[in-house]
Amino acid sequence: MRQRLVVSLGLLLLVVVGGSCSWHPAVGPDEPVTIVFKHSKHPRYVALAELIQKFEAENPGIRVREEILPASTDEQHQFYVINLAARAGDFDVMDMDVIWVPEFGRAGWLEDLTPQVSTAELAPLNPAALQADWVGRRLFGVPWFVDAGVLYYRKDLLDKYGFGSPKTYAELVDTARAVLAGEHDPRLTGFVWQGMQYEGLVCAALEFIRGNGGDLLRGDAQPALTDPHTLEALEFMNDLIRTYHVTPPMVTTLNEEAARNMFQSGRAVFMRNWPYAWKFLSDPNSPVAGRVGITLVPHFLGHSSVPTLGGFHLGMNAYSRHKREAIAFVRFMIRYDVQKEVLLKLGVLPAHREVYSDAEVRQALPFLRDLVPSLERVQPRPVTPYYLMISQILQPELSAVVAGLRPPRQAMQSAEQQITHLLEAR
Amino acid sequence: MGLMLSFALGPFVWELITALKPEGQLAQLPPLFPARPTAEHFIAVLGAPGFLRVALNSLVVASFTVLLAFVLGVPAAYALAKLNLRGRQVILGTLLCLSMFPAIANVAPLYLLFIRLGVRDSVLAVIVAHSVFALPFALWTLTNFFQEIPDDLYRAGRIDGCSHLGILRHVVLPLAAPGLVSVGLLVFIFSWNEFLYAFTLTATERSRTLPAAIALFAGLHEIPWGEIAAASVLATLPSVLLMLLFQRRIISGLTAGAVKG
Amino acid sequence: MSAAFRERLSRYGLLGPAVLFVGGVALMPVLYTLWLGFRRQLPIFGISRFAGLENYRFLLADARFWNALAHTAYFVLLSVSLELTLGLAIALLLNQSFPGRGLARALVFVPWAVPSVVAARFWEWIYNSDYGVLNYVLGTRVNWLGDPRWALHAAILADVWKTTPFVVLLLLAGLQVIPEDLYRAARIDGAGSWQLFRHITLPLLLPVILLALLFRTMDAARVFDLIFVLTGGGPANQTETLVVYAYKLLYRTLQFGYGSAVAVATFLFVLTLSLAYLRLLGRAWQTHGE
Repeated sequence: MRQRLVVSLGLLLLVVVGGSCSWHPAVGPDEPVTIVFKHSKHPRYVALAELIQKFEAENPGIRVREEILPASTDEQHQFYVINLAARAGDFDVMDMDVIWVPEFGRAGWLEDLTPQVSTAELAPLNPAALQADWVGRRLFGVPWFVDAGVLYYRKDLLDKYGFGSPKTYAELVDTARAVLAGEHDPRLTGFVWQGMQYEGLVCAALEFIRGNGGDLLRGDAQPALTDPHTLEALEFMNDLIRTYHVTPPMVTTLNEEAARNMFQSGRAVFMRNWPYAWKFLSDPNSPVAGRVGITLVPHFLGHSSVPTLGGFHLGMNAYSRHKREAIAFVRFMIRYDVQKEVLLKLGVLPAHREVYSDAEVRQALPFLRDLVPSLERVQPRPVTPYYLMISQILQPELSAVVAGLRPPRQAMQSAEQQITHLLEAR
Repeated sequence: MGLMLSFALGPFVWELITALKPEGQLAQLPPLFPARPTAEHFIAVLGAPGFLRVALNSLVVASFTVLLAFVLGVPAAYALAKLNLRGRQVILGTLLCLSMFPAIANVAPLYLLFIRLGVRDSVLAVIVAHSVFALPFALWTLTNFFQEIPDDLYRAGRIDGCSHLGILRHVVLPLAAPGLVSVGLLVFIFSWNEFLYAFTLTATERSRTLPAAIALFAGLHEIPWGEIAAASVLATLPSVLLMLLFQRRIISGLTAGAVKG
Repeated sequence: MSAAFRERLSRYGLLGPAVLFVGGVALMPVLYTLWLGFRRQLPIFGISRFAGLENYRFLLADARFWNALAHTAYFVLLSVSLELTLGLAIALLLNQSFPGRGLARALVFVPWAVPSVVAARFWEWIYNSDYGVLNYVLGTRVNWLGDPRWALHAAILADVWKTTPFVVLLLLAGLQVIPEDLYRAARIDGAGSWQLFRHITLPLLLPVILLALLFRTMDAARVFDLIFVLTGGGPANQTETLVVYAYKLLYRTLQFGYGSAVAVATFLFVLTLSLAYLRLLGRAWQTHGE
């Protein structure tokens, strides 16, 4: 009895140990090179696998192995930080949030792509997205899909009360108040956006700020947080909640999904979100199917709309052992035909601008027409290696404004003080 | 009792209800209960590629963590409890201190270590990481339970010429069985549910465990609450089953036997 | 080999593997963190140099650190005391015989069986001000997670829900070891329930209570997953605890040196609290051995 126990335990141990040893196959001269593509989970992962197969067919000497990361950008960032700080060369091509590229590039963790990708290949890509890939004169990433903040609105409600889609924030407030007054629905709110303390808040706040002619930084290194335009915009965000009662106080718990759920359940007239929400909203089972419109995020009178840029970029691990093969894959992903598949099959907005004027695309996805203006006006968050640090300082201060804990001037003064101190420490 | 049960079970029952709600109704309240409960989320989860492999990994990791914790911990706890070793406090204290560090600070250098050793993306790495952080707790608790055993029994065994292992086997283990089962259960569940190390030290389904896999359910912006609910219900079941199975062991009044013996 | 030597060998042989294992694997990350705490390590700025006590000096003046400490202390105080009282009550109840006891025992442990990230996500779902079930059941529209007055308490409630079973399990096992005869004898002497509890149960259970307190405090002081998922430390950093702050420093802003220093400070905080318990526990063990 005991012998059998020992034997079976021993066997189990063997299985565990055997299955766990990482197997490094010796690569002969004729064997294909395997590169590892580390990326976050894609809802249409089959389509992505097909794209990869296409690449492998064109490049017989290269195999691409996908390794999935959780969709939480925090967890992805954490993974990259741990591995790159440890100089691990276990993956070759990396899928990165746009705001990480300057940071990783400056830390020396990304391969310099400047000599590897030609100007001709870069020219058709979204310039705002590309802008975020440079640190000085060196290119550290290329965008493969982009995102821009957009305003969703309830077409049916606006039509009912005789409003067109708002161009300015003043118009938005008027429209929302009219609809709320007319509908008498206690569960209906006017305008929902991302007010939780996280990166999404900075994205949303930037649209208010830049829509009033302000910005976070002046030039590369000077915070512009206490500029009158910026403060005005933040006062407006506060007013939305406490003066106009158009945005509910629980906006402090809203992220993209929570806002989408509210809007999709028919409980908001306006929503600021990313384009991904469209496919959920227009799904036949959605309570608001067919009643939603998309337009540019509004601006303040006398200024213009500036949607915030999101999206993901591809980069190369500086410690990769297969750089030649990795760059081939990166250049493949930004090609016109591949970018078209990214749109049609993967369902995300490609970085390649010419895809949007493609006849087949325009026929298949008519709603893109409403998105293109946003993509043309989109601006990245401040492109600096220290952006994440700046964002970490800003998030609680912006959250304090949104939660009504501190007036904008005080919050921004505190933020400015911390940012100045940070940038001086260079 | 009823109040306590409803508090304990309430959120879990809600999880179950959410897992059974059709996709469109997930964010709607009312209705509290779905008119037409659906198994679509459970099917999606069970049918997902690699799910069974992940479940198996979780089982292997948790079982071996418990095994390792016992193999190393029981003799050590016995030594600390019964043999008046010098530096006992120091040892216990240091072990405790080591486990007091925030895990997030430990995870990066540990990962570095495993990369250098070449065991990246392996269940072995996760087992080791879990055991290391479960051991101090196991040691402390076992030592405490072993201390409860009257010294006379121990001394009697020594007089009879028993070796330490013998005493362990015949005297200590039977008497401390409730404590052993409790510790085993807690360590198993700790390992089964542990997320940070499991997530950091694994890269593919080859070694991934359930909590790390559940973290992968969400998309960039989309959070499939239905699937997450279903997966959580499934992930919780084994632990609950174990509880059901072993709760009687915890209860048996084996101490009565000690007094007689 | 003399008998004494063999005895020595077997003693350390019993203890050795465990100590070596933990020491070997756990010591390295801890030493590394300590070492980093004395450095200024900012890969983005390209800085990597020894900095002595600079990080700790900054820490003493860092308002955000002290806020995090205050939030953590509050969290620990409230959740551990709630868990202990609730846990003791439940354990005592479960110790008695009643029909369906086995099932009840298993069911009470369900919260502990749920993975913590999942539990956090679920409480996030429950606390949602718009479609969360709590507001629905109470008929309110409280902004549980977004209002600074409620957010930390919401997290505490979720933590109590999740970890009370742990306390129950420990206490239940401890209750089992108390010989039934003691109770019988006391009852014969005419003792009532409260006296039984005060003079028999409580003293004999004290070591286990302290053990539960120790481990719960250690864990509560290092709370991370729950807060991170529920509020991310917000709103306006009002629910930020020590480990959340350390995480943000280490992994969001890549301030490896200062982040490690905060981690070490967290450890010192936990150590201080634990030392208090340990003294009590040591005394309880001593009286027990007699």
